[in-house]
Amino acid sequence: MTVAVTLDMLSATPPYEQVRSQIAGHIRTGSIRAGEKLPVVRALAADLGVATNTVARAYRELEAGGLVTTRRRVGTIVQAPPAPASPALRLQATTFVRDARNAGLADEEVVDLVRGALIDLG
Amino acid sequence: MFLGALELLVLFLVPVFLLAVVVAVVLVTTARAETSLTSEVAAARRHAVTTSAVAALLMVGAPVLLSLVFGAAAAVGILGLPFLTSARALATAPLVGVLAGLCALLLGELTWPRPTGSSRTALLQDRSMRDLLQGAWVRSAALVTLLTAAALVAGGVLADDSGAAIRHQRPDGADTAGPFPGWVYAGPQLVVLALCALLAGLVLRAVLRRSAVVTADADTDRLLRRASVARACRALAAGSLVTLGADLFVAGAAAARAFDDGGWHGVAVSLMAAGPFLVLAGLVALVLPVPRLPATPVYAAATTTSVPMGSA
Repeated sequence: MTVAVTLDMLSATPPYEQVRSQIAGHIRTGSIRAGEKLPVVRALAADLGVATNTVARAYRELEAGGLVTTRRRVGTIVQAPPAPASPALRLQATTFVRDARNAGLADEEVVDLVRGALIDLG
Repeated sequence: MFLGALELLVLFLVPVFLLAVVVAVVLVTTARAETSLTSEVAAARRHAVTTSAVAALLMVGAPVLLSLVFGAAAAVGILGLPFLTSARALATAPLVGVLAGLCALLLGELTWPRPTGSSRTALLQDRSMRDLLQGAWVRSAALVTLLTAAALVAGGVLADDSGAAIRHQRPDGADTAGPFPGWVYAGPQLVVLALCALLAGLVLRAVLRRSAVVTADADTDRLLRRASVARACRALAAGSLVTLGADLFVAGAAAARAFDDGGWHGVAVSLMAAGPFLVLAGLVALVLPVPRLPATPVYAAATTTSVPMGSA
């Protein structure tokens, strides 16, 4: 399975955050597994048509979150999430997103819904 | 002997031209229809084909122009050029053509279509130089370039002090014959060959670093990159083969005159005979096709997934 990142240049969310959040999502859902290598910063920046600093910052944030590790000459390697979601939890998330989309919500609205629930729960 | 080499070259050019026409017709008639490609992939293919055509024109045109200018200068005595300068220029002409062709290929890679638009998608797939350095073209180019460099060094070592002739010392005297590709010719050729190898390396780096074609799946993108690498390697292999063949022919002819009997004479004649075939192989290599998109679309089982932003 090939995993992709999509950037919306018109979105209010900064490009680096879009890259970071999507890669983090892929890692947490298991689409990208621990030990796999991410593209080098320059290559991903070229493919997305953004500055290398944008991707470099996304990778730094991922590293700070413990999702990847960067080693000289090896590259950026995916690590197992510090708090991996169980398969049942991932299934629930998938079901929730599917239901929300079926209800006519846009992806941004789905994310807002989750953020709202997080705030409600404190 | 030079006239013989020129006649051989012309003799080779006719069948190679016919072969090029046949290959072009087959490639055009069996090419994937543009309607089955996304507009981005079709544009990328057009860019690659245009770059390749310009590179081919330069690879053929530059040596011909160089040969005409320096050949005429040597024959008529214009420009005040000594014969040796013209002969050196002619010896490096095939590799100068490769240099010009590789410049065009490098420019093509650096001007590869970049992603535009408000929505951009990239595959999270690591690509390395090791992935690109695969295939027969890469192996052939490496082998032929190394062989040519070795032959040029050997020519330099075997030549006499003049650097342009070979000497056979016998008890009752010495036989000297030339022209022979000693350092006078092999030196400039080695310099241009090294420049070609350097430029080919820059092309490979540009191919690795260029942006992926938007809407192209992983297999298509890999194929487009391998085609670009193959074009650079084809140019390097062809130029090296022509240079190697020409040098072996000239060296063999000179050595056969210097060593007029015995085992070395046989070796020299063999080298002389092999030379034209290597030149022919180099010219044929120029018209051989590189990897390309299959005539009919292959629907890979691979799927692409992405998650909404802000989900983590």
